Amino acid sequence: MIILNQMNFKKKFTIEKNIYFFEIKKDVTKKVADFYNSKPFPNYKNLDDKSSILNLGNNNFIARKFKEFIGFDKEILEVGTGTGQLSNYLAIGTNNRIFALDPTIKSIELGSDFALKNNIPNVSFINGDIFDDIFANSAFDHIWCSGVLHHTKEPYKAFQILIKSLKTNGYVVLGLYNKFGRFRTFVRQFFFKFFGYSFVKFFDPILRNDVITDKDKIESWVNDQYRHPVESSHTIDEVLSWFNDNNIDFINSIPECDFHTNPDIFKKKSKGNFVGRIIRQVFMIFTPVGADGGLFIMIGKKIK
Amino acid sequence: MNKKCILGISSFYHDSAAALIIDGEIISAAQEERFTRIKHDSNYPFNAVEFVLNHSNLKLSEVDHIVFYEKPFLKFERLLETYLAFAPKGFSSFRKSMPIWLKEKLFQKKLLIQKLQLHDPSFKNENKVFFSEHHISHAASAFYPSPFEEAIILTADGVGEWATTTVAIGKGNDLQVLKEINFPHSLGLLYSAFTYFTGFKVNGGEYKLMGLAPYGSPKYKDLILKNLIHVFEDGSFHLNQKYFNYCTGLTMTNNKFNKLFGSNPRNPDLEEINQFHMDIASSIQSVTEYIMIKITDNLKAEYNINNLCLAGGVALNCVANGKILNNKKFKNIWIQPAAGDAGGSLGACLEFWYGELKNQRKIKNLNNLDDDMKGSYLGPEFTDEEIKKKLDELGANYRKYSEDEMLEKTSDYLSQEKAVGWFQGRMEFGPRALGNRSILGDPRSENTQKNLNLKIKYRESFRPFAPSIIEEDLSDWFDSDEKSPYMLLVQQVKKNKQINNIDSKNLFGIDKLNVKRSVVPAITHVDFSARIQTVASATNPLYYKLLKLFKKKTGVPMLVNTSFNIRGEPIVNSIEDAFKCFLVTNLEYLVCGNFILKKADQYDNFKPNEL
Repeated sequence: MIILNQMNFKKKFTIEKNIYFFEIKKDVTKKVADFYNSKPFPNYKNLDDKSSILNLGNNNFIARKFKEFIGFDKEILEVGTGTGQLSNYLAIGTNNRIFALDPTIKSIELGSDFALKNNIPNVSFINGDIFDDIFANSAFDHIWCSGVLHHTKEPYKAFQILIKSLKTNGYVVLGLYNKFGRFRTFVRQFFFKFFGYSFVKFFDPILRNDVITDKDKIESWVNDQYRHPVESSHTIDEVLSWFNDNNIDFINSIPECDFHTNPDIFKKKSKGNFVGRIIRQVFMIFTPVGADGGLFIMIGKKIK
Repeated sequence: MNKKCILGISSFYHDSAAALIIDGEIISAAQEERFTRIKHDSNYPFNAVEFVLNHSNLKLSEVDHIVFYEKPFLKFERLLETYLAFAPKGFSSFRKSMPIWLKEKLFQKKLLIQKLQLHDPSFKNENKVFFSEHHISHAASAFYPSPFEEAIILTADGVGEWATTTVAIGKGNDLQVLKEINFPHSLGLLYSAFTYFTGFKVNGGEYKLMGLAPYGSPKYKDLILKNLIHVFEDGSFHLNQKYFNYCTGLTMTNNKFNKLFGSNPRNPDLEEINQFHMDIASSIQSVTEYIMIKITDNLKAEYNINNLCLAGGVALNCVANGKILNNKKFKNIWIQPAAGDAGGSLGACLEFWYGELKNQRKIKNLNNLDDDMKGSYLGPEFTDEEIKKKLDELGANYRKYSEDEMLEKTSDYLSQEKAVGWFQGRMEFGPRALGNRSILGDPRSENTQKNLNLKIKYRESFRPFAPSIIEEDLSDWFDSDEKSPYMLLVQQVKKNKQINNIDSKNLFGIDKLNVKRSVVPAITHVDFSARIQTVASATNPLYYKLLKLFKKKTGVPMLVNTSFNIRGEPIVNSIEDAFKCFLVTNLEYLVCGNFILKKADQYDNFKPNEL
C-alpha cells in the first residue's frame, strides 16, 4: 500500500484496514453505496490471483489499451472502482500509482483485501464521494470513470469536479449509458416492473446466454441493470459539449463518431458530423453493446 | 556488399520466426512472439524480420535470397486429399479452412511479397523468393549447424506438407532425405492427441504432459500400442484413424478414443489433474520413447553412422532424447535448440546456402564438437546505456554496479534463496531460456520449486525446474558426461546426491512433489531426473562466472534456470518486458546488464502532490 498523506487531498481522512475514508455527505451517494453494499459487484473468485486478474483485464480491449497507453510511473484515478478489479489490473506489473475511489465500503474492502493478499502495493483504495471534491487539483495523469456518472444525481457536476484533479495533457476515459444504445434495456426495464426476474432471465442476453452463472453475480447484474435507484443516459453530443466547456479536447469515442475503426483508441480522431453521430448511436441498439446495456466511451485530453 | 545474405522465414502456422545468415554464418534469429507478446504468434514475422535486418544494418533490397520454410501448394494438396479421402466426414472443418486457404495461404508467394514490401515498399524482385520443404528445413536446421561432417538426421513433428517423420543423411554440404512417414501417421500428432485429452493446449502444452509423466505409471502403454498405433519392426508406425478426429474435425480425438480410456477429455476450467491423467501422461511418454528408441536403433543398424541429429517438435521431448543418448547406439547426438517450426526459418536459409548454392561446409571444431549455433544467443541485446535510458523512462529505481560487483551481489541474493530475474546479452532463439532471459533460483532450497511455480510463474505446481550447471562439473552431479548446452537432454541425478526416502515410495501422484529427493531438490524431478543445461565459459562467459561464484559460496555448481515469463506469456525480449514481468511476479531482484533493481524500491518514488 502506498502511504498517502494529507497533501494528496483537499479534505481530511481517516485510515482503517488500509483504506482511506472520507466523510460522504450526499444522501444520494449514501443510497447508491447502500445499494451496492448488499451485493458487491463484480466479486472475486476464490482462485483469483494476479495472473487471473491480469488475464481478465487483458481480455477487455479498452482496459488493455488504456493500460498500454498509460505506460509506467504515472498517477491514475479510477472513479467508481467497485471491487477494484480494474484498479488492481492497472496496478499489476507496473510502477504506476493507482487511486481507486468508491463510496461502497464492502466493495472496496474486497479490492483492498485482494491487493494485500496478492502483494499489489501500488494501489490505494479510497472510500469517498466525487461530489465532496476530495482530491488535490491536477493530481492525476489520467482518469478512468466508466459506468459511474450515470448512477449519480448530477453527472455533469461530477464530471466538472473530477476534471479539476486531471493534469494538463492528461486523458479522461468516460463511459456512460447511451440514450439510443440503451434502448433495448429500457424496454426490458419496462417489462421488468411487471414480470420481474422471470422475464429478464429469458430476454437479457447476459442471463439468457449464461455469461454469468454464479447466483450472487446474477443478482448483482439484475440489481445493477433493473433495480438501480439512480440512473441517467446521455449522448455523444452532450458529452462533446461537456468536453468543450471544460477545456477537454475530444480524442476518440466508442462507437467512433466518424465510422472509422482504429485499434489505437488513444489517437485523435474526427468528431464526424451531427447526423453521423446520431446514426452511429442508433446502430448501437443492434450491436452486442446495445444488447448488454448500451455503454459508450468518450476519450478526451485536458488542454489547460 | 559482396557477401551473400539469406533471410529465412517461417510463418502462417505457429511460431513464426525469421533468421539471417551471411556467407553461411548464422548471424541472427528470433521468434515473432517475443516482439508481439502473443504466444506462438503465427502471423507474418514483421518484427523478427525487422530485427534481423537492422541487426546487420541491411535493407531488404540488400538481401540476396529470401527462403520460406515450407511449400504451401504441397500442404494444400495434402489438405484436399485428406478431405476427399474422408468425405463426406469433415465437411464442417473443410468449410472453415477452405476460405482461408483460397484467400491467403494458397497464394502465399503473393502474400509474402506484400508482407515483404512492408519493410521496403520498392521491393519487387519475386525471383529472390524461394520455398523450401518443411521437413527439409527441419533437417537442415539440425545438420548444418551441427559439429558433424556426417550424420543421420531424424525429424519428427505433427505434420509439414505431407511428411511427419523423415530420415536424412547429411555429408559435407549434402543432405538427402531417404525415408519418410506421411500424414496422417504422426508421432507428433499422437502426442498432441494426448495433450488435448489431458486438457492441455495442443502445440504448446506438450511439454506440460511430459513434465506430468513421472507422477504416473505407464498403465495404458499396452492399450495404446494395441489399439492406437501399430509399430513395425523398423520403428515406422501406423495410426489407427478410427480413434482420432484431426483429419476431419476440429478436435484431436473422438468418442471411440474416449471409450477406450473410459473418460472424456479433461476440461481444464472445471477438472483438476488427477492420477488418471498422470498415468495417461506416463503411458504416452513411454510409447514415444519406445518408438524413438526403435527408430534410432534401426537407423544405426542400417547406416552405421555414429552421429545423430534431431529436429522437429518431437525433438523437444528431452526425456526421450535422454533415453536415446543413454541407449548408446550413437556416439554423438546433436539437437537443434529451435527444434520446432521457428527453427524452420534457419533451416530454410541453410538448406539454400548449402543445398542450392552448393557452398562448401567448414566445420570449425570437429574435435571439440562445438556447433555453429553460437549458444542459440541470436536475438536482440541491449547495451548498458540503452538499459539505463529505458529504465529511466520507465521510472524504475536501480543501482549500477561494475560487472564484478553485479555478479557478487547476484550470487549473494541467490545463495540467500532469493529468486532473481536475469536479463543479459542476446535473447535466445528457441523455446528455452539459456541464461540470458532467465529467472534464476537456488537449487538447494526445498521451497524454490513451489515458490517459483505458484508465486512467480503462476503455473501448475507439478512443473519441474531445470538446472544450469558448470560444464566441467556435470559428471560430479549427474549420470552423464554428455554436454547439453540447449537444455534438451534429461539425465539422472547422481546416486550420491540423491536422498532415498523409503516413505516416499508409498506416495502417489502430486504427493511425491513434497518429498526432498536430493541435495538439490529444486531441480530433481520425482523420478530423480533433471533437464540439464551445461554452461561453458566460451559460450556464455557472464553466466558461467555467476555459476562459478555461486559454487564458491555454496559448493553447488548449478542454479535453477527457468524462462523469464509468467504462464501464458512469451519469454521477455525487451527491457520493458523484463521490468513488467519483474513487477507482476514476486521476484525480489531484477538484474539487467550491470543494473540491479530491488522490488521494494520500485514504489519508493511516490511524491505527494502539493496543493
